Amino acid sequence: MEKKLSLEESRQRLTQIEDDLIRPLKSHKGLEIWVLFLLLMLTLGFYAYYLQLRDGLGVTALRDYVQWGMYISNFVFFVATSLIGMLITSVLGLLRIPWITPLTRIAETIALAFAMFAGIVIIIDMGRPDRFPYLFLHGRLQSPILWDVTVVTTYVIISLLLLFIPMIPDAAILRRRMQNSPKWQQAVYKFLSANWVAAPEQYALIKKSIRVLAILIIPTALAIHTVTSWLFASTLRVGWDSTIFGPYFVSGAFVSGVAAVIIAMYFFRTNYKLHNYITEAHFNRMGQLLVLMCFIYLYFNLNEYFVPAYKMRKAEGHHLEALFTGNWAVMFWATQLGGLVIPMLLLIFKPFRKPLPALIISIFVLVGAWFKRLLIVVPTQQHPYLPIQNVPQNFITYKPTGVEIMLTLLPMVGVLIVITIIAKLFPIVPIWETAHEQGIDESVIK
Amino acid sequence: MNLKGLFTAAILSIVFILGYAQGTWVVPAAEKARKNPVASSAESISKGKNLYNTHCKSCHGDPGKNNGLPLNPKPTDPASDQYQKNTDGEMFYKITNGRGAMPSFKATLPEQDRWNIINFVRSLSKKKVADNAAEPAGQAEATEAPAVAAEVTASENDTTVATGKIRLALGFDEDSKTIYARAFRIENDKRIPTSGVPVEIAVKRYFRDLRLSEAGVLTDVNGYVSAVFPEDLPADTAGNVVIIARIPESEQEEFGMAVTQQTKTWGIKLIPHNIKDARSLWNDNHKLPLWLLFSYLAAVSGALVTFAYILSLVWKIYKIGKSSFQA
Repeated sequence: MEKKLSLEESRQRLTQIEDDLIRPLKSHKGLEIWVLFLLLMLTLGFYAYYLQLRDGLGVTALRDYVQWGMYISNFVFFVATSLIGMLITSVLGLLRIPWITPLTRIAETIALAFAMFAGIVIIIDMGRPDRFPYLFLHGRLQSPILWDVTVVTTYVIISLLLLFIPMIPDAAILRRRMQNSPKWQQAVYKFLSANWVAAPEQYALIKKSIRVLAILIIPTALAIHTVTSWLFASTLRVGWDSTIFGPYFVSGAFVSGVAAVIIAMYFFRTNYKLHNYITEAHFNRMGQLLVLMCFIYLYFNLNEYFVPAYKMRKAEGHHLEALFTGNWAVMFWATQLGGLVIPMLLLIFKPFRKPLPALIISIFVLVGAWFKRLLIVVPTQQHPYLPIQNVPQNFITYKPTGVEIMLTLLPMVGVLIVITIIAKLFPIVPIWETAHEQGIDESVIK
Repeated sequence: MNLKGLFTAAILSIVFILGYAQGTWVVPAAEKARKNPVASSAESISKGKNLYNTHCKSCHGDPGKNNGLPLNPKPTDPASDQYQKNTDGEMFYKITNGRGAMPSFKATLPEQDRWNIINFVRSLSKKKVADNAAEPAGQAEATEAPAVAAEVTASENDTTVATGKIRLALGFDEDSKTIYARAFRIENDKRIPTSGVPVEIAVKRYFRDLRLSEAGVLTDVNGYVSAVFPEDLPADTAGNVVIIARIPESEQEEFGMAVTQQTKTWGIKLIPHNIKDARSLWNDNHKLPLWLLFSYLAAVSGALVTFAYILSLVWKIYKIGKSSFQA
């Protein structure tokens, strides 16, 4: 970075980086078991979906009271986690934070996979998926649901561009290095390399594209999760009728996103043997970032729960009591303490920001983040606007069925499949940016 | 007997003594000869009736029923011949000054109101009503109506439903939007206009009807009660309002039931206003607010233009590479 290497040194160093980062694309040790596991889960998921298609949403625990259950909680979780792409590539990237370079592609891959499957979760939630086009044909522009569909689609496109445009030079390198790969794979590399010759004008254009997209993704990412929060906040229901739902959701999104990236970092570092590229310093930094995000989210939680709890307005009081001391109390406190407060406190100390402790803490945070979405979505619906007589017991309690759990896991499996495919076709750490950072002459990167 | 009892006894005996001592109530001659300056109109009688009910009835009772309070002296029934012997001036003097248990209304009621009460009391005597009809003031009142009298006569038989002797007819003055209701009875196939009948003019609406005439108003010497139709009364799409004249339910025991009604197009026409005609957040998709439509289109087209721009940049990268390969 500081010193410029000579052309010869550049070539040597670049070859070294290429070898390190492309190696995982060539050796597939253990991949078969992983793919077998994914396919098994996929088969189970599709069978569950077949049951739901055949028998309708009655196979789930969704009833008149709780109409948005695990599926919509899952949707919110997916949208939330996908926001990390914006934080890493855009916010930290535009601030020229140097250590993010090896993490950008991981973040963008996670963003793309989660954003894509967020849309698919919505289709799973529809009892009649054949009516999906109605969303566009008969959608009301006044409804946050249509805005959500719009921003999620936009976000997927931006994530796609932010993943593949910075990949143009890498695709050129892969085209040169992966000549033994199948024809279709070479065709993909050729298409994505866009005639890359490492000309200075090409560098200028690619940097310009990334900068424009990095700016565009900020309002889009804020919109995607703010609008998702408006699906709830634009109602009058207790627990949802909140003015801070937008920033509350966005800050929560960064928590789960950072945790997801740390988990992926650990996985790729150990399995792809990228210890020299994703270092302990990166875990340290990401751990610090997670502390910050947890702190901001905790602050919003304090506002979201403490202020209404201080007033205990009647309907709000019932809802809060159900969370604090009622039938949701165990999940609520486990999520708030085990998924937010304790991880934050632990990560303040440096030893917990080493790779393995950081991984374990991040898993807690990510699982906590999922349950947090369930706690936002479900309990509110157990307090209907008007009391109804002779309500069946299964309207009041919400116990997800096996089919529902499988169909919640299905999009997660989908995310893993997408990440696996991307990480097997392309280097998960960007080659040209790493090379550039190490002072390798730009003109040789092709 | 305690002190309080003694005191009460003393007061009572004073009242008794005063009552006996002043068995006849002498009114100065000048006061006795005083004339009623307020003409006996339906309006005045109606006001007088309300005032009587508020201030006098608690002691003097229902006129004609001789059910006043058993005081000593007993409050006179104002409809009785004994009371009606009083001149207007005498009545005014007595109401104004009071005596014994009868309070003075000098400070309580303005002179006008005291005369209104006297007009009401006079209206209770049939003989007096006849006398009043001959008075010039009564004539002046009656001249207002003839313009509509013909119309009233024309419609009177068709629409009246009556159980007693009193029947009602409606007439209208289109220019001033005035409604006239006339009370009459039929004797020897002739319609005799009847005064002193409580008649209310109302407009039909859901639930209780809207009364237009004053509360407790009585028909004048020519049997008329009138009311002005309000300018701001909403009606159906054609402006139809159903105007009703009737003897109020509370008076039906005495006068019998009588009601007549007629439809006029005097109301403000209802212009149906569908709240879904306007653009709003809660309306159908094609009725969305324009600001929302433009904001949405601006945001989406902004993103699309940026995508197009990015793709053009990628296309440039592709072209540069192509020319370099060729070179």
